[in-house]
Amino acid sequence: MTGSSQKCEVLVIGAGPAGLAAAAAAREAGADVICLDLFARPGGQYGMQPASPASRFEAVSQVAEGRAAAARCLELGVKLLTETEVFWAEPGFRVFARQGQEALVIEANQMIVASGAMERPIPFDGWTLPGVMTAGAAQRLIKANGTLPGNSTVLAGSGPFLFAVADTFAKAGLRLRAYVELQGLGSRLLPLFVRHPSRLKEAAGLLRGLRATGASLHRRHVVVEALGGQRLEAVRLAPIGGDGKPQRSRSFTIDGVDSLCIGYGFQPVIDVTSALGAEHRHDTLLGGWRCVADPLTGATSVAGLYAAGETTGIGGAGPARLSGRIAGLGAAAGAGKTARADEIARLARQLADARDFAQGLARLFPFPGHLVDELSPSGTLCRCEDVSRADVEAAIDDGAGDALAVKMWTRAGMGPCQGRICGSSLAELVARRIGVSVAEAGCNRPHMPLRPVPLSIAGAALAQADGGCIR
Amino acid sequence: MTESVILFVDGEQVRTARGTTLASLLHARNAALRTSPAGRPRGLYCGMGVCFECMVRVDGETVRSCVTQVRDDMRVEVGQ
Repeated sequence: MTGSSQKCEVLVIGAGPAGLAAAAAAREAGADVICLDLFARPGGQYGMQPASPASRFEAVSQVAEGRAAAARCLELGVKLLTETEVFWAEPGFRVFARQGQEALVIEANQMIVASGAMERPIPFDGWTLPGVMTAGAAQRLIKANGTLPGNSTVLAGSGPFLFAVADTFAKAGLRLRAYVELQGLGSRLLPLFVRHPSRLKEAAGLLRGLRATGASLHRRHVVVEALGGQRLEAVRLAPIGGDGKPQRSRSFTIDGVDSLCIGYGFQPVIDVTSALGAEHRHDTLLGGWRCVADPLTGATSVAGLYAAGETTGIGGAGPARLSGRIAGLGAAAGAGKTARADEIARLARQLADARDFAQGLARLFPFPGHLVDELSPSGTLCRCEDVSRADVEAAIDDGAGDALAVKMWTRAGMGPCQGRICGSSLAELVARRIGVSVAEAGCNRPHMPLRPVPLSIAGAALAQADGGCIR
Repeated sequence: MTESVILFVDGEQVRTARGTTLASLLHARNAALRTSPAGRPRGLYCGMGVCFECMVRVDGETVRSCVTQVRDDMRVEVGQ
């Protein structure tokens, strides 16, 4: 196994809207910049690039935007490294990554983490059946790969992202069986668009997309169970009652379903920022645990470390681009370059406005963490280790007082995903069972390696690094 | 025209579009990709490298198929 090392003034982790904006800004200010991303093509989830230039998604505005942002970085001389996954980071900074079968060590003076968001899943009965996937997975299959999630799809959950996924189905000429949204909405959307009229056109387009899919609409309903033997066959829905809970007595089944795409919103990806010891806060409206960053520089509580985009709180592409540019200028200034104060002030104003819209939307679609209560005792909480809700609650009743203790007790969150998928629901269950807040119930702690990596690659990375010692 | 790639899934020769992920190819063939520790079927779930439900073996190494690009002559084993 071989390894190599590189040096730069500013390292950007993530090549989505925030990372690409950060990389371009830092480079424009005169810093030499490396920007890396796990995926094969830059753009992130929002600006993901289709595999084929013949894809009908090539002309879609988000795709065009991702393409332009990546092209701008390359033109400026940013070094873009794709299919590169960080598995550890040390202050100072030294970052250990894997690029295919190669180990890569990057030494950087300043570092910007723009690692984006991931789904914020809520376990429900049958959610482990093949054919059940996150709404984001469906989006990626169709948009980037031209693959159908299934032949008969139910799209369900809550939040504005579901509109975007429905629109993707429409743009691909695909039909949806049903569209299931927890919230009723209707007139509650109006005040938000009165405050932010520029966003109305985009929203109207998404609604047209939803109609074009031919989906039957189920507002104020939730999926209470995915049914099937070896794979998904049917989906059970229940209406939401006056108490906000699903009414099981009025539930009904949609048969002949081979794909359920479900999403309740996103949570910040904070593995690198938390591994480096930056300050994080829990804010339900911003997706749960998020990295705290200064609005004028993107600086975190760790010297030389900046955060941008969804890592700092869920807000979508608008806040991501703006906070990315701010962090890029901040990091460049940290590396001794001069940034223009008037631009920063303007960006900060725009960021506050974009965050205001995102917060308004988030209030209309509050994260329904309480739905974890609908999971049966035998229902799976931790997918990696097959830990049930009953296993978790038995541990809590035996004295496991926070999410970490439950993890040690039951192995929930100790599988290859390292608790990223079940961590927030595990905290929710602990919080509900012992009567503390979700924030007090604990967070999913990072550990080395941040992502499973073959020993040979970890070894090659260590051999490459001076001193070869990871704390 | 999209360039194609030829690889092998459980010994069967398969042609697919270059630039796509292995998970997209496998999911279209059969949604079940692996079994959990308790022996239950699992398939593509997060689609972005986080959940590890789409793990398969490629040329002897365990990979997440959703962040693995298809390559010529890949030898893929599903359901390990």
